[in-house]
Amino acid sequence: MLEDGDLSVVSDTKTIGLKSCEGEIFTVSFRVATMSNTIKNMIEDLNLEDGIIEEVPLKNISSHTLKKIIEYCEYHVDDDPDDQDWEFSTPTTVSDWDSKLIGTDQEEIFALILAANFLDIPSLLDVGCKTVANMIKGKEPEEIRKIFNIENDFTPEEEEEMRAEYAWLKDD
Amino acid sequence: MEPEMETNHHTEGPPRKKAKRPLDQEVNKKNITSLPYDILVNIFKHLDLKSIGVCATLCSTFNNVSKDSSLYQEVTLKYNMNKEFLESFVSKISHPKELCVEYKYCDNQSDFEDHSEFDKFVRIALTKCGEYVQSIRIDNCRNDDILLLLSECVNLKELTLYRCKSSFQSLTSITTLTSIKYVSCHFPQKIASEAIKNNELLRKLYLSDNTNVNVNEICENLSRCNEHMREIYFSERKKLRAKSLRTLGRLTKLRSLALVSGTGFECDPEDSLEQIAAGCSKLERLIIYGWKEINDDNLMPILHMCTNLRELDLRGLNITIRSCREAALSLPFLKTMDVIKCNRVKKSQLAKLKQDFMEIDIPLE
Repeated sequence: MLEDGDLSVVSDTKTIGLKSCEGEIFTVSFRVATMSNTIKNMIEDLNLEDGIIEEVPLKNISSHTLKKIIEYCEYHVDDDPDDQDWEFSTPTTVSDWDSKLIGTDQEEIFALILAANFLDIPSLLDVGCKTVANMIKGKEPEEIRKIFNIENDFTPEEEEEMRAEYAWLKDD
Repeated sequence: MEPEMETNHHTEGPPRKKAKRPLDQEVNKKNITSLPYDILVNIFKHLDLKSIGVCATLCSTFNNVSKDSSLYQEVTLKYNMNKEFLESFVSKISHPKELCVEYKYCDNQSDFEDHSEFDKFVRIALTKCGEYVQSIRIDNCRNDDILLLLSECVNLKELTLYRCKSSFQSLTSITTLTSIKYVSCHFPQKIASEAIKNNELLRKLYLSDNTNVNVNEICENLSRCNEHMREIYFSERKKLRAKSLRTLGRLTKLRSLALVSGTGFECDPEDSLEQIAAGCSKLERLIIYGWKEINDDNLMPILHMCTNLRELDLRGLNITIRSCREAALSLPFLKTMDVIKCNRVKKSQLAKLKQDFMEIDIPLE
């Protein structure tokens, strides 16, 4: 029996089902699920604070990606937002735990970024974008082209123009 | 017939099977260039300017993203950048949030170089900043005209000055700073403390190796005028008096206090640490380096009352293993404790303590 109105206690006991595009349902606590602003807004807008929500269909998120997202949210659910501007809790790079979760497979990373964007989980979106940026940083043009399989679609005229504008790249 | 012709290329015949891939979008996810524009901008935000430049030459999607003005909110201008780059770059800047300007380091007046060409770009950038810029760092500037432009940045929150020398007249008119870092600057008398105390919302103050900075006056001003202080770092030559230090106990939000080498200390700490312990209960980091008169009794109030401490750097104090053990026992969040150069703490005692408290990082040498 819960007597006090502590929201974090209450929302730990309530659950919500998240349904992946394959139809698999993952049950998570309100507290974890509302790390997603999209889900948080949905619950508030539809006045679903009481009771159990059996399934929220997430048609563009695969089970594999959803599993990772839930793992991320469960791990970070107790992060203190007030600590954001205090350096002990704001690493400038991706933490080991996060980078292990995200992995190195491009396709999986992009899926995770798109899902984090859709679900509006800013910290996860940030971690995903940082991971991709780290794959680009400090590399030669041809290296990046190969890693991400990027086709050169410039016209010869555009190429010529760019050579002048980016001449400074060859400097050091 | 014509409309049909147009829809021909994909939809002719029976629907294509995609059974293996449950997700339709999955096809698009394979290539980075098909990510939405906003996400690509977000990725580019974590890149340095050179990497953005490289990406701009790879394909038209990236080239397009590289022109987004939100990417040029953190701007660095260096004296040795070539003119073409500075020109193309300064033209892309609009409303930068952070500006960093690096002049060439020169040791003395004799090797002073003419920077009038570079000054021109810095002036454009600073003028464009206007009310938008929140953070500025300037290195090695000796040009009063340039530093005077700071007074036009009316929403500036963070200011860092390295090895600058000027009249600093503009500093006294700035009142919006939350973070100040002055290192190796040559101030005229009185300017520094006047300028600092005008910023009521100040949270971080870092002063190291400047000329004409009176830390005693600054301590007393801070405790009266700057109740939001979170971090203080002093490494100045002027001797710090216990009487001034104890006033910092009034800063109840203080999270980090560092008094490091370079700062001279008056012999007896008196009750200054006790006052700090009583007032600054949220302290998470304490660094006191080389204050030889501080003993176990001086330190004890801090170890008992500042229970949020995560980092202790007490190198070169006159404390014994008693303080170290007390810290390890009574501070539940303690992560690191550096007590090397404390002559009364024996290495063997420290090694034993390290064994007893594996979760705390205790350097042995």
